[in-house]
Amino acid sequence: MALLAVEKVSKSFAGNRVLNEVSFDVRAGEVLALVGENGAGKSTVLSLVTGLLSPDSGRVLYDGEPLRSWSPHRAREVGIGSVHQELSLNPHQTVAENVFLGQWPARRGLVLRRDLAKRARPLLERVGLDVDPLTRAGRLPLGQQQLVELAKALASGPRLLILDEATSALDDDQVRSVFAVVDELRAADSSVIIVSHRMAELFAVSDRLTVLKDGEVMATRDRAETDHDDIVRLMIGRELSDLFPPKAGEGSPVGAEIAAIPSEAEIAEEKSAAGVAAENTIPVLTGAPVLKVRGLTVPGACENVDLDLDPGRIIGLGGLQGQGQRAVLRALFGLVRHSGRIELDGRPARLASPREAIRGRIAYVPEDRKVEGLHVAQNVRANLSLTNLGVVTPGKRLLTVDRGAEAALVDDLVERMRIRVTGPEQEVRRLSGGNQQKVSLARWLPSEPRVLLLAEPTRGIDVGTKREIYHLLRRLADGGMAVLVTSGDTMELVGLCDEVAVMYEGAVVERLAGEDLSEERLVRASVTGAEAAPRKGAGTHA
Amino acid sequence: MPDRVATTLRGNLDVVGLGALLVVLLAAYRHYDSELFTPASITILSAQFLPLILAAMGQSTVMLAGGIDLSLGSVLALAMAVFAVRAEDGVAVAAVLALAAAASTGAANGVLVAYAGLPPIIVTLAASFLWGGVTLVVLPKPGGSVPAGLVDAYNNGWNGLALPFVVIGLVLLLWKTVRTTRFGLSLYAVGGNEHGAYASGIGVRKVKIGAYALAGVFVGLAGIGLAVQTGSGDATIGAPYTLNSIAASVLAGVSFFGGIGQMRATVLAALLIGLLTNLLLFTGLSPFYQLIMQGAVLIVAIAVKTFATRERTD
Repeated sequence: MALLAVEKVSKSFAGNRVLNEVSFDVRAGEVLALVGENGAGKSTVLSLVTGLLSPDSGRVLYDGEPLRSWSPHRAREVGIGSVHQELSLNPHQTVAENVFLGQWPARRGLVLRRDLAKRARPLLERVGLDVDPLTRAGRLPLGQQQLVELAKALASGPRLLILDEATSALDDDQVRSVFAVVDELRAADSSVIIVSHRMAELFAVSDRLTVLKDGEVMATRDRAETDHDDIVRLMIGRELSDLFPPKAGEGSPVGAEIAAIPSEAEIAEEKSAAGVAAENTIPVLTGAPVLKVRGLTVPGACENVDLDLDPGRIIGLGGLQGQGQRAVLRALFGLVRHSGRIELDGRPARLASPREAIRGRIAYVPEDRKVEGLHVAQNVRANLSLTNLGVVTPGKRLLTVDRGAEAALVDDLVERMRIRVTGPEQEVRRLSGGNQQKVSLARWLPSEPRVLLLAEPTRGIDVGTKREIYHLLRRLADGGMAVLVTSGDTMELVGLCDEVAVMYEGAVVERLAGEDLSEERLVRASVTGAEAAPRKGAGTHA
Repeated sequence: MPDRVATTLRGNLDVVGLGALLVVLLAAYRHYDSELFTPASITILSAQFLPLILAAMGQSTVMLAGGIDLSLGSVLALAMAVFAVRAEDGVAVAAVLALAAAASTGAANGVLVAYAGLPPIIVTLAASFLWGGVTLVVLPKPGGSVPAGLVDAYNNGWNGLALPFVVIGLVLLLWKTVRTTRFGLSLYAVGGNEHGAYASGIGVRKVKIGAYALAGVFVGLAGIGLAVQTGSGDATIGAPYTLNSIAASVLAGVSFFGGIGQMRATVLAALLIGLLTNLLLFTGLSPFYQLIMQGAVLIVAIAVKTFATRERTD
């Protein structure tokens, strides 16, 4: 009998349907992989199981019983343990306190530190973690924190363990200890649901794979009956080659001068032209780099990073999560204090604030749109005109906004970017993630930036919009822009970028381009960076 | 070995820094008041500082859970009023009533914060008017009376024993015990990462209500202390304690975002603020300049502290 059965579960957020009649089950003693792109609904469905959310319709059965009045507390009581990508540790408490978070063993009402440490030790050992249980959790590197999460999930002796991107920050050895735990649980007739971006891992450890796309189950396959390509096809609903535009020098610069998302017909045209172009390769625009970065250092985040951003090229920053990629982008946009030499168009530049970066025509599309990008409570019009006040308040009008110019600007951007809105007055928070991201990008276009910095440009976005954004970025590059992208999605980096710099503990450990730029090489460079990287200083992330 | 010392020092940077500042302040104080270190002087000073120390402990408790309490002054006045009004019928009964009143208003604050889904700063600001009004109902005009024997014992020592010291010792012991219970750990967990705590099955609302209620107990004790110190009750005397308690907590290194802070640092910081106020009084400056000086000293102290303990982020 299935230990967990999800039956026709649907869930919407603010009118956006994220899960549509999703059904799957997990048997006792089985490892089920849940696969899908960012935004496919994996985390949402898992949140229903762990009690963080409740379904709009459908039901979840655990041990044959429907879950009622579900909460994380109840879930933990019945033996559901989970490790999520976003850490739930309290960085200010000790490792031991975190392992037993919320269920500290007490003697006559008192929780004794030494007792706690003693009980935590075997659990830490089980996950292959050799740290003092009395260290503050926040002092550990990210990978070790993730293992503390695992120890915490094991503390309640789970019958169902959920691993949601629980290996994203781990190196090879650490991944092996996680899988050892998974095997142990399976042998003890417990079940595991695993979510990971690393396909090879999923094939190594799971018994069955369930593929989600845009909130629906595409298929559930036995591991023996499927392969990597089959799963990827199910995940993105089309061939991989169709998702990404041709790379620099391979395509024809059709309509490259217009910074707009191309239509289906234009994409097809570019694609067929690419076949021809591949034979007589168009020379890549190679001038001097727009932005030359030498020895960029942000204390505690990245160290001695060199980058050349050339017009017409898309450069990726890869590696595991939190290896300093974000700091590089934020430093180049003047958001964090940094040292190193930066030249803009051959002249030394000081990027001490976003204002100075913008003046140098650098644009930044942040990972967290709601914090560093958009004003979500305001409407589309206000968001688009805020970065273009020069356009909407022309000189002759002194300080007031020219509503006509503003309307023209907004209409133009909405059309070019194919932003789906009810009108310019719609609040940004009511838009889907994909359309929010388009607004976040569109707001920079009128100022014609020369350097575009993007962090996780397609996180939480449907596949159709992803494809549009990839093609837009390529068009912008073809038009002479230099693009720098960070992404935790290896498929995206490989498919989109002309070159990828792989970071580990704040340093660039490898640069991959052309033939060398493959998912396999990228993943290997990301996790084995440990050996190549200078092991000093830069590893502590606050 | 020096490593170990350094680690210990870093872990207690707040306490060490405040201790150093306290020594400087005491030296300056002694310059104006050569009797400072006599038992009589220590007793009367501690009697004077006790209410602020207790109030600051209450504020720190709430702040550790990620909240803030702007109604603290009103609750303090309420406890003071209840105690002063009932003290003649029996000090013990009055104390129990005052503590119950303060703890239940604290718990009510907690319920509002936990269930209203509004920022604590708004909820407790509104609550401050509510409890302020209730206090005026209990004691419309300054009055009530505390038995003279108790007032004298408290302010001048009881058989050579400084009672305020005993109270602080007991309250710190209480805190240390609370801190080692599941509730105490939950308090830090909720303050440090509320969502994580919730996802770990901690009853976040209960913890918040508990934190505000416990703060109510500390504030209630502060109110009783103030009544015993002054010998009567006054419904309007609580107001300055709200901001002073926040100042002491921040000075002590209790994070506005919750989860970080030590109670002994709060005690030191409250003591520091009390001494500073007295010291400025001695200088004979006009009260206006005293306020300006007090503000400036606080800003400098907090800025130095923030600078010294700032964690690096990317």
